[in-house]
Amino acid sequence: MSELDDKILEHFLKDECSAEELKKIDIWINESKENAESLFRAEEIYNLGKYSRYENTEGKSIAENALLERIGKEKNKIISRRGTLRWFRYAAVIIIMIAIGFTVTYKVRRHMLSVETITACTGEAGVKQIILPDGTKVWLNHSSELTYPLKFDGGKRLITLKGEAYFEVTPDKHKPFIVRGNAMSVEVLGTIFNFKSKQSEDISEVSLIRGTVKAYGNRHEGLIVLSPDQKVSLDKRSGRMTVHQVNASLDALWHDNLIPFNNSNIEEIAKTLERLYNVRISISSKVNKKATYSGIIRHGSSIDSVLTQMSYSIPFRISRIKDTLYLSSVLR
Amino acid sequence: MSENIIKEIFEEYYSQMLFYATRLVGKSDGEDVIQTAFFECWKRMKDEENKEHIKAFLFRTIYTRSLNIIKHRSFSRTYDESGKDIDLKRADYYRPDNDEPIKNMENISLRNNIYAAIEELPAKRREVFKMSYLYDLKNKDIAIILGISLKTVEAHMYKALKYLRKRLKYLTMILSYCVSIFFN
Repeated sequence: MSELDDKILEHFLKDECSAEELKKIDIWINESKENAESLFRAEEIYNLGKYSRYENTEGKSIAENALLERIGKEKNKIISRRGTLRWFRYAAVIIIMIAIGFTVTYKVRRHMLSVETITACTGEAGVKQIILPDGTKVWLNHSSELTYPLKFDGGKRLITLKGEAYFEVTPDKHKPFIVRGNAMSVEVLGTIFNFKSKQSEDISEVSLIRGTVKAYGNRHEGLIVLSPDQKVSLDKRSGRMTVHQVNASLDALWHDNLIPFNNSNIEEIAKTLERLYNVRISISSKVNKKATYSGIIRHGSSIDSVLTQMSYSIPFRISRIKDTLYLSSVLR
Repeated sequence: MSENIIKEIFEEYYSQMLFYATRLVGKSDGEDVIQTAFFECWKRMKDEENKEHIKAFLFRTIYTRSLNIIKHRSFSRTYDESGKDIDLKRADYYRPDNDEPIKNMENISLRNNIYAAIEELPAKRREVFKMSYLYDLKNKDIAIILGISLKTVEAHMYKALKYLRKRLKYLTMILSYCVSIFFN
C-alpha cells in the first residue's frame, strides 16, 4: 500500500489542493477502503481540533433567529391558507376548537402524570431504602433526592437522581432502567450499581457491582460500557470521562455498612481498612502474607475489633502508636 | 413541535450539526443544510420524541440533503470528477450508520488530546502552527508577522503536521478499536 505524499495531505487538509493534486488523492482513495478511511479520519481529527469555532455564539444566535423567523412564516402561511375560503374558516374554527380540546386534555394528562410521580428525599443524616414499582431496591444516601413515577408506563423505566444512591435493579429485558443524574445518565437492564451524582460536586461517578451498565454524559461527553468492579467518573468542568478498576462494593458500602472480603490477604485488607478508617497500617514482614480472610465485617464496629476478629484467621499482633497501627507476627 | 422545544434542541445540537454539515458540504452550504434540518425537525417531530431519535433524524436529514447538493454540484476549473468523487467518498465516511465519525465528534477527550498534542510541539513551531491552524493565516503572512523567511514557516508547518500525524495516528488506532468493541 502506497503512502500519500505529505505535501498533498497538507494541501488537502487546508483545502488548497490543485486539480492535479485532487486527482492524485482520488486515485489513492480508490486504491483501497482503508486508504479512504484513514484520509477522512485524519481530516476529521484535523477539523475536530478547530471545534471551538463551531461553538461560536454569534453565528449561533444569527442562525437561531433565522430558524425562528422561518418557523413563524410557516405558521402564518398555514393560517392564511385557511383564511382563503369561507368554508375553510369554519373548518379552522372546528380545528382550533378540537386543538384546544386536545391541549386541555393533554395538559390535564400531563398534570396528572406529574402528580403521579413520587419524590423521596433524605436529610443530612440517615439512609432510606425505597422499593420502586417494578421491585427495584434503592438505597438513598444522605442529602439525596429520587424522583420516580407511581407506575412505569411506556417502554422504559426512567427515574431521576440528585445525590447518591445504590441500586439493585429488577431485570426486565424489555424495559431498560434509566437513571438521569445532573451530568451523567446510566442505562441498565438488571444489575447492581452505585451512582453518585451530587450537584455540589464536579465529579459524577458510577460504580458497577454486578451485570453491565451503559453510562453516558448528558452533554455528549461520551458513552462507556462498564464491567463489574469498574468505576466511571465524569468531570463536569472538563467533560472528561475516565474509567478505573476499583473494588466497587466499597463505593456502595454506605448502604448496608457491610464490608465484604473474599479470600483477601492481609495487604489487600489493610489497604481497604486504611481507606475506610482513615488510619495508617504498617505490616511487619514476618506476618504471613499468604493467609487469607473471607467474611463480612460491619463498618460500624471499631477498627480494633475488626482487626481482632481477623487475627483469628491471620495470626498477627496489633499495637498502636498515634494514627498508625502496627501488625506484627505472633511470638511463639 | 412547540417553539420552546425546538429552541432547546437547537441549543443542544447546533454546534455538532454545524460541524457535521460543514464536513460534508463546506461552511456556507452547511449552514443552509442545518437550517433546513432543524426546520424539518420542528415540522415533523413531536415534543415528547426521544432525544436520540431527534438527533438521528437531524443527522439523517443533513446527510441526505448534503448528498443531494454534492450530486448536483457543477464542475469548474478547480472542481472536476475527482473532486466530486472525493466528496462522495467522504460523505460515505460520514454516513449516519457509521458510528465512528459521530462518536469522534462527541468525544471530548479526543479533542483534548489534539490540543495536548499541539502543546507538545517546540515553542516556535507551535506558534507558527497555531497561527496557521487556529487563525487560518497564510504561510506568507505568518512569515511577515514573525519576521522569518517563508521557507522557515513552510518547514515548521511540514514538521508540525508530520509530528501530529504520527502522534494522532496512534491515538485514532486505539479509538477505532474501542469503537468497534462497543458497537459491534
